[in-house]
Amino acid sequence: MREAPWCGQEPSGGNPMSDFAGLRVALSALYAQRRGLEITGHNVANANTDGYSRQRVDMNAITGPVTGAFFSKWEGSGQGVKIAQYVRFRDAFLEVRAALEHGAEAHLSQVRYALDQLERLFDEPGDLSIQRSMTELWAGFDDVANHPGDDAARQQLLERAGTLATTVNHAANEIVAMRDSSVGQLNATITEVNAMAGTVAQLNDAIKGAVTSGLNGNDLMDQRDLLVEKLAAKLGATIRPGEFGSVNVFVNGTALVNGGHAEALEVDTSGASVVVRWQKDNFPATITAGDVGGLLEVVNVSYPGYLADLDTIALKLRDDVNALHAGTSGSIAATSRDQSAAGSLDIQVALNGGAFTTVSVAGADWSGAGGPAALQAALQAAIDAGIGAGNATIAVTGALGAPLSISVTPSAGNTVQTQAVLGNAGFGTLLGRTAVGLDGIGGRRFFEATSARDLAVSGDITGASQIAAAAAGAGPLDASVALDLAELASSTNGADAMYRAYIVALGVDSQAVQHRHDIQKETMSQVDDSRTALSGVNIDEEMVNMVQFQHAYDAAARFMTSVDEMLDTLINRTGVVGR
Amino acid sequence: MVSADFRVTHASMARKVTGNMQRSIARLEHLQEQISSNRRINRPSDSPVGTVAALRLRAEIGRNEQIDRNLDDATAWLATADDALTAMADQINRIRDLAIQANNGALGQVERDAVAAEVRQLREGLLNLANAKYLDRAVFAGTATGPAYDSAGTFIGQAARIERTIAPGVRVQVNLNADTVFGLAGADLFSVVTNLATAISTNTNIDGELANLDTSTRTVQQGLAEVGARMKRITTMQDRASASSISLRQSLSQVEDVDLPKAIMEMRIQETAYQAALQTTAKVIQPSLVDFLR
Repeated sequence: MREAPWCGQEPSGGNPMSDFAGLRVALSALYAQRRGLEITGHNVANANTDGYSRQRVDMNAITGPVTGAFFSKWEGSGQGVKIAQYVRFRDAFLEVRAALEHGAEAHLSQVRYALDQLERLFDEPGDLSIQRSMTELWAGFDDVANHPGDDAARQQLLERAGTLATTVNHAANEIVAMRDSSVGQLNATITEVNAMAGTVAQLNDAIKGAVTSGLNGNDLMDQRDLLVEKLAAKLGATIRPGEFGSVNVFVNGTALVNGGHAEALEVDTSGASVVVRWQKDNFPATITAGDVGGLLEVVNVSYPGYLADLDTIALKLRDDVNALHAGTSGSIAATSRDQSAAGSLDIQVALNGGAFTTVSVAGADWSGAGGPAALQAALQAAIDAGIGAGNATIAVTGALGAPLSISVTPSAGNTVQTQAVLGNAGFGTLLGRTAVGLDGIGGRRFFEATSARDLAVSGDITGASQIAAAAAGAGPLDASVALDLAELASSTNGADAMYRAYIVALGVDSQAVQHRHDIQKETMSQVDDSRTALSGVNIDEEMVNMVQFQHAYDAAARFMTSVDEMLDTLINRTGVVGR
Repeated sequence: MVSADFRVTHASMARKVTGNMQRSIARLEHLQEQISSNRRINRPSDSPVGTVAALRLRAEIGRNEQIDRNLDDATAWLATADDALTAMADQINRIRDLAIQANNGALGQVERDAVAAEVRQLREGLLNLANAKYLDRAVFAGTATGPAYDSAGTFIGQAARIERTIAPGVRVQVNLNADTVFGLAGADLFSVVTNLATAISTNTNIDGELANLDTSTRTVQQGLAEVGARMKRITTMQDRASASSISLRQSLSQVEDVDLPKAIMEMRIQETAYQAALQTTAKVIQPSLVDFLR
């Protein structure tokens, strides 16, 4: 409480103060101290209110006139006290900073949650994981290699391949489902943001009205600031103080709330990437922070990225296994290049899973310098006759005296299957070591997939005996192909190794985000501490204020009594000498 | 803002206290997860470096288990071949004894016929042994599905290498091809024995046939030696595989498993810290000036 500016001068001539002035001084004190007490009560009442900023009454002493007048001057004392304003403890700069930190925290929190979900999905290192299924698949090939004629080993291999495919499908589908759920969350968040922006604008209007008419808008401001803080956490919005106590909210430089006017956002899911746009002009709103920024990153970067990598792994698995199993390429040993005694070499070809057509190449001596070109021309003509020209390209290479390498490459979008004609060694002879099933037919794909979501054991294989473990012409119980397939387990650039790198990348990613998020939470709580240090209610402090105001009130009341007694003396006891 | 004139409010105190307790209980939860799952790495982000090792070790353990099975299978194949060849060597010796016995000229036609019949019987036995099977598969038949020799003694198998992977990238041949062990068609063990029986019964000079028999004996014994050498190699690999299986599991355990005494100790410390935090919080947060004003 300020000291009363009592100058101690008695009126000596001129215009003495009114005799009743003391009563008015006492009254102003009673009013002011009661206000102070009320505000203290208000603070205590809102000690636990979310977003409440403590308030204080600022009191001013009422001084007398300081300008002299003709023939008179003010010789009285101060006129008491008045309430200058209700101060709300809030630092606009801290608010701006808090908005930034809350936005950054919300962003990281969303990404962290998504990566955590992914880690749980893959459950690595674990016993029911994709890695385990892959290991079992390779082991299954080894079992078939050990017992190529055993139907049980083959059946087990098919089961394991199916399990692996389903596990990969499940993971990919889950990632898609997680993304969908995040898109749903994004939609809900944007709806909420629009509603909140509208409310902030309304509150801005109300506050402007209160401030311009000199009323106390503090509690409205608290409500508004709480909402703005939530908006900042949702959008990573920036806050700028506006006129007449209003607050403007900007998203990447564009106003979401400008005084009493609010814009609206909408989610556009029509493209490959999800975009948040302004409803007014359909322009994209670049949001990189807050829940929305985090969800956008998760939906457009994290989930699609991890899904695409999983696709790559699934396709690598398909290609690695099929290259050995379907074997539409091979080589003729240098010693077998002369096939002039072989007669007609028959092979069967099929386009895009259609029926097989038998075509033949006349056996010739391909050991000379022109051998590769001659064989290439003959094979190309035969395959063109079988499935039509332009659907597959044959390439035969090999130096003089070296093995001939042959490859059959389907043209874009096509698949070409080749297989042996039972009882005719042509296929094996033409393509060298080519994988065949127990029935002597080769060219069946083991896996088929266009992405991780539809990886499956190929429809080419309708029974366990059709798994190609043997090389064509090497005897029905040959298992050299199965051995090579099992060896894929140790490949340093195969699907296994890729998958391991994938999981580790996920771990590193997730760990980095966890650290960043923890640090961001710490920063945020420091800013929040600074804010509560300024705005929060301290009960002890309020108790002291309460005692202070109460005492001042008591004293003011006593002062009034004393003025009253003085007047009583003046009115009732003066001029009664000699009665 | 300098900490010296930092206002402390009840709300900020409450938030700090709950924040600290949250962290404390989160650490407790993390330790509990480790102890209850007995694993230090429950998610890749727990330790990306450890995860690389764990994934690689798990893959290697899986491969190792399969290689163990391959080795068992290879041992069984070779053991079958070994048994068959040992028995065959005995029978060839018996045939040789009989032939020399019949060659001394003192025997009559009846006795010679009897010896020739016994030799033919022994040849049947040799054929049976040459068709020895492991898991219903003739071990000398190569990649064919049926037996190695038909009843006439003609090779009907398909000579080929049958291999087992005994270490990543290392394959060993587990079969012996009939032509190397029993000789090429026409000069094979079974025709040699047939010729010998004929020579005995017709009382012609058997020296040439005996020489042929000795050649066959040598090839069978060479086969036996080869089987023995491969068996030894496989036994060594088996020892190595089981040793590496143990060391791989140990490594995995070191990478993945929780150090139980340490984790339990840490948990006790965390528990004590948590309880201390609870107690002091209860003391600090309760009183305010309200309690002391009249």
